[in-house]
Amino acid sequence: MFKIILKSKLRIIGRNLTQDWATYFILGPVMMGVASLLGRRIFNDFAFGVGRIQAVSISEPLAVRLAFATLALKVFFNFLPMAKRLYPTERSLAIEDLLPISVHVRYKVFYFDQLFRDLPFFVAGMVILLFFGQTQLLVWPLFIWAFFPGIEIGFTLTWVHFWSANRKQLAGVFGAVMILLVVLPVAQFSWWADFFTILFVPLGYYQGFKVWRYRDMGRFEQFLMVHQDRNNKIGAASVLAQLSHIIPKNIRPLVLRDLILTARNFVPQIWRNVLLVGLVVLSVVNRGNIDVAAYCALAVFMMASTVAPLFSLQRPYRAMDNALPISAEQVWCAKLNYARLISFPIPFIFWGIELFLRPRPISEALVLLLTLVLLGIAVSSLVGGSICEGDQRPVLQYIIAAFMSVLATLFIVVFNPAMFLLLFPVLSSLKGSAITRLENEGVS
Amino acid sequence: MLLSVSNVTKRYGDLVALHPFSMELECQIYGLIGNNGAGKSTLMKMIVGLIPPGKGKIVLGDLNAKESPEEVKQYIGYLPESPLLYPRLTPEEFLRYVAEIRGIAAPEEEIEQWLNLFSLSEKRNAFLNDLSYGMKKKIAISAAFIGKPPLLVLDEPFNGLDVATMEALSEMIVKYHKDGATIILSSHLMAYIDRLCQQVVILKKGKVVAQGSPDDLKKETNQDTFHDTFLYYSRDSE
Repeated sequence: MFKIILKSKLRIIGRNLTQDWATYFILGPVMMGVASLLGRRIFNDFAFGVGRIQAVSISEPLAVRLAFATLALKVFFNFLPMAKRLYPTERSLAIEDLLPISVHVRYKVFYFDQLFRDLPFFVAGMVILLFFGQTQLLVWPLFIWAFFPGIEIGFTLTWVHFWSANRKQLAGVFGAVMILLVVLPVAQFSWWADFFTILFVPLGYYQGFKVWRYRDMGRFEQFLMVHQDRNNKIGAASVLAQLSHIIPKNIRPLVLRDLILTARNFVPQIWRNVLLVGLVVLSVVNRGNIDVAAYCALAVFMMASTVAPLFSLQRPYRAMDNALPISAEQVWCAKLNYARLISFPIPFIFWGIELFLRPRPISEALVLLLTLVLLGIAVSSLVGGSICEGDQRPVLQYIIAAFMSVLATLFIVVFNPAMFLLLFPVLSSLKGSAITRLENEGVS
Repeated sequence: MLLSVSNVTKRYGDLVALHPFSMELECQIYGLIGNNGAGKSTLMKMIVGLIPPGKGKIVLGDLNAKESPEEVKQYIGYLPESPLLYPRLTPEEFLRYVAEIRGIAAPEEEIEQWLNLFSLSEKRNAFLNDLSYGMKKKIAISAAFIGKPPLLVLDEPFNGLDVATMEALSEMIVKYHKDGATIILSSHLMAYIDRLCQQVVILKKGKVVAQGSPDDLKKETNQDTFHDTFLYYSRDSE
């Protein structure tokens, strides 16, 4: 039976790949390659030569610590989406849930599905290792990838069974894990990895998937209802309504809608991005010789890139927008302003921390503020403005936006803040391209 | 195949989705009706082994749905309210997939019959995401019926269908019942409930407010149509 299901899944995957073959096999690899090679060249040679950005190097133990921290964060942030897929709730019900398929086969299918979902993450990990020249570690992402779905499935089912699907307690546990990853000797990491694999993979299958998944279903559905109710009571909508007054009137309803959806977890990636921004902010404390502007640009990019999954997740509902008197330009402008708005405070946070840690004369402080604000606007505008360039695939849009953001950082920070003016022709070009794409989407 | 539901309840925290509910049926067409949120879909999901009952027991033949949720599905064809289809498969491929999982060796004839019945033969090579809602619904109905399961649980089967298809489907339901199948269906189209069902239960906020044959309920409430009978019970129980 597994073969029947696998055959169908592979057929669907094959058709998706065939339809978008140019994106997956030409545009994607080319953009990844260009971003990796050019980025490496900029950071290691060119920018280092100019003297404002230090060459980036990473030791093997640090790479291992970072890798484990990233994996732990992946488990944490994937916890709720994974739980929503594991338990057949109204939204995640699949035809397989209605058919007489044994638990064993369902588990294998789920494992295979998760392997496929995890693939881009581990490929990205390999690209990063290549970027930092850690070729001796390249085999590890492949090895971990093979076992990781079992750990994720096992952990999610075990946690929901013994505690709840609420991520508050989980955040405490993962906070402790992060501290342990800094404190523990790297030599012990392999032992812990083996321990968790041996614990969660069999437990997840024999008890979790076979028994708990069905028994805890009602409890999980109840959690989702309570969670949603609580989210709606927070009243984020009214706060955001006030905030959106700074947005031009013709796109205000669109931006406000996007902000409310974000506050209500329509884009789960927002919390991952907030945490990553927090980590980047903290790392400014010990930034070495790397310019604070580079950290600021990275944080703005991470926060503004929430716009990509938002846009992609809204695709099924875009027919609603098409039925309303909204132009393609308004749709594009709304996304541009959304990206700017959600990342707007970041330059000020970095400026405040930098001045607190490393006080400097008022004139220098003001120049720094101007540079950071211009950089923040440039990066967030490029991320928001390039929203239609990734063919509505967030990963591809990240790559395109990252490439442009690296160039913007280089021009504004290394050369001259006046280079900010280059942003306008770029945005104009992105707008033209976006309008054509959005109008074509409306027609098709 | 006898379906026995004894004192089944379901709670979601403080919300009681279904108060103690019992029924026993074999080879009947049974209507579950009620306004939105009455608990119909919850009861159906418990019967088909998707969610466990809070209390009580659901037994199909000699299988307890709570203890053997996977085995129970072998004998049930379930049509959920929204069709669950893979967008990048064709109708034919999707139905073959369902048939293969149900263990049907040569499903071609049955698939052909369903495609013809719903006038979908011309669309056999189109992707499911290119079909209209009504066409998708027809495929989902075919998937529920395929393999002739002894128990059919149909949640709003007439939603989104054109009039001719509704008629064809109701004839199919009657035919399957005559062949020995038990059918549980929910619908807001009271004319079909009246015409098809031998027994109905009216649910309101998880509680049974009326139970019996449509004719008996009409007589009891002194109403001419079952539509008015349903409205009577809906208002009466406010």
